[in-house]
Amino acid sequence: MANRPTSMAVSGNNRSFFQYKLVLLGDSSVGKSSLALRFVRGQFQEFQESTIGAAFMTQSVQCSDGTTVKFEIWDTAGQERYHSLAPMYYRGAHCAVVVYDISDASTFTRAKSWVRELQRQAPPNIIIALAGNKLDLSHSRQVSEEEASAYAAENKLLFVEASAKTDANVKLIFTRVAEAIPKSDAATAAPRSQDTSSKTVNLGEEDNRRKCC
Amino acid sequence: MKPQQARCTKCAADGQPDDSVLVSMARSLFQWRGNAAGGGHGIDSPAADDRARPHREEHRQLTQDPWVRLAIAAAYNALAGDLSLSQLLLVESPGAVLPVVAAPAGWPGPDWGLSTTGSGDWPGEGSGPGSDPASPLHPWPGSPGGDFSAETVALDRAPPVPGLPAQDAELLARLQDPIDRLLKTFAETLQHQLNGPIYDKVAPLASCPCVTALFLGNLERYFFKQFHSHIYALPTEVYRDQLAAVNVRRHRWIEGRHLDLPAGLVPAFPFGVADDPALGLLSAVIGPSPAGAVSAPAVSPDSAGRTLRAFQLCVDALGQMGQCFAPGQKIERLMLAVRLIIRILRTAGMVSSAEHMLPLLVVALCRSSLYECMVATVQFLTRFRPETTAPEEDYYMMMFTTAVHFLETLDRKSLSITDGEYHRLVTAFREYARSEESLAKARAALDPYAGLLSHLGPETANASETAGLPGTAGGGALAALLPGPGVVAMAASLAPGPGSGGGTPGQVAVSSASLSLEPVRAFSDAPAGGWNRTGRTNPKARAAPPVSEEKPSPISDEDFVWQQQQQQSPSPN
Repeated sequence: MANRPTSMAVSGNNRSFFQYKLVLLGDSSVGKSSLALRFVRGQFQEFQESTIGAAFMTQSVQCSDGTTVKFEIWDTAGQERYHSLAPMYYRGAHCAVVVYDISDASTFTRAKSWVRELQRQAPPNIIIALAGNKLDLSHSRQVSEEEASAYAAENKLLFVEASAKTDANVKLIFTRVAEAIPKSDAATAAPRSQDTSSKTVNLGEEDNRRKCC
Repeated sequence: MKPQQARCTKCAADGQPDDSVLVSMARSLFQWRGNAAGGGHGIDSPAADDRARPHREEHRQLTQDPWVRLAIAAAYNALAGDLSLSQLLLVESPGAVLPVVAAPAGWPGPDWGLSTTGSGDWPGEGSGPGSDPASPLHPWPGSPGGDFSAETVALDRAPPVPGLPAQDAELLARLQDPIDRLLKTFAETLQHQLNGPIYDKVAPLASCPCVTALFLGNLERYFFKQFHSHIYALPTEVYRDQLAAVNVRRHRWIEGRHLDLPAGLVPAFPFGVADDPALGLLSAVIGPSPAGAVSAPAVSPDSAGRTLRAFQLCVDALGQMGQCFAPGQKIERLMLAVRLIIRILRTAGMVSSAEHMLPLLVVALCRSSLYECMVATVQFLTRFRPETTAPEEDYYMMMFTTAVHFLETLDRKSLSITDGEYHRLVTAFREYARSEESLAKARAALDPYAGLLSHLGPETANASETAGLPGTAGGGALAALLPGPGVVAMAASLAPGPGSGGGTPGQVAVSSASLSLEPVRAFSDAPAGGWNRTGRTNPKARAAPPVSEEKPSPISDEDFVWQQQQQQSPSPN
């Protein structure tokens, strides 16, 4: 799986459709999956009709340049005991959204350590976004917007404060990420094997490509 | 012999046949081969790349395993012939796809000496050309001379991929080796099947995607069943599995609350563990679980009952993963387990986020029988899983890998539990290990075969016991796990059947990597069902009284039949 290309550019409409793997990171209880649920299904709590879980979801975003970006959203377990397993999730990811809770300073500290870890271990061209969740609790805010945005600017992160509960800025997070991803990068990535036009698999070519990357 | 165009009642479409499964299977083999040659693909840890380096030697060894090369070559052959399903099914000239080889006189037939008991995946399996049911299984025949190459048609084609390593083409061209002749037998068998029984059954529906999918699924199963014991795992992975199993056995009591799951999601401990008769004793030792946990046999309200049922099914599905051969089947079971976990969470009105799903998967995995071969299962799936177009399978495969890794490294620090409670439970578990030992002794008194096996049983029990002592999980458990040479020698001298003989085709495999890794397990399987080459996947057969032959295989060809049986059977306890 590590070798498997996870992004694809379907060349049907002039490379206007891209698919990326996006990893949600952050402490537990910061509302990672709430953000994703709000973004994907437009709801705060999971409803009964869903047959597949909220841990993995896909959602598309229209970019301003006319392209469509489809995110595969990979949720991760935020508890400390699973921390050592996180690299398995962000390996091969194209973008990561690090979530913290603006009403809880400790989650911001934790988010910073996630960012450091990503910068150290994740793929070098990964797009990292910092998202402060629970904007609706701004009356009990512990992390100021200035502090967070300064940190984000310093580390070249995208930064959005949002609220999954009120749906404020949720889509903005993902749109910003979608705009920030270099599309040319994805275009060079291998398309998946799902294009059915050529049934013969060119093994040698694939091997060569794997080696030269 | 053009087959009639026919319509499937299921899909009512006459679409193009889709051979993607076969192609992806072959590609997986290639990819794996490439990885093995190029330096490993670490499973799952941040330092995987570093850790893979020492494994390279083993990768190389396994790649040189003639059986693995055989599998690769067979897959290559399928590809080199530019095999499409329509060709596969509507073979006009039989030689066009796979080499046609006339069976030499006295050829043992396509059974290869591999266990195909309980087959059914493949109609007509075991009745290939030249096979004579009356003739005894032959020792490997003397070389009939290099007379195969002249009759191979597919070999004459230029490889479709110029960049393909030359040794693969050479492998097919070089047929002096008995091993290479095995490849021919495989091809021959396949060819025969395609022209004979399969053709008659499938050809009329060749244009139906449903049938072709079924056919390719069967082909995949057949393939992996034949080669299972050879491509199953590397020595290091089997070793890791042994260590991980000790660790899991030590922690099998974990419940949802130890992983911060809300009460009511995971039933209290022995529930879901169905494969162990001594567990009743253990639960008596551990004592009642604290308030909040669901007690298994309770007369519960509907939602709790549904939760229990779903959890049980989930545990069973994971257990089945360790018992089926093909990667597709394993993935099917994994996705079923995932759906059941989601159902549990939905019943409880909770969001099925990774934070809730992963601990549930961990607990279910811990209670299923898969824990004995989970590392190898992950590796197997990493290598051979067909490329899917469903990214969620990638995700849940990753979640499964994560859960396995978590269980591998599980200790007190990864659990929400006080020191006192932890030691109490671990101590209780030592009692359990002792009870298991006494059980093995009781079995030994009852059964002559079990008398042999009981020498292996205490090994396991001791290992668990040693591991149960806090702080001594390292060397002691490790030493206890390794099969002592005495045990192996004794088992070898006592074990009846073809295992002790030489010269059968099976023996070729016996001498290769897989069996030498695990003499204890392999020999302990021998009395149960003859030379059970698939014993590696059936941990329950170890140290248990001989299983009766007519016991149906837990793997049914009908998907999820077992699930229906589960639903019909009364609730445990």
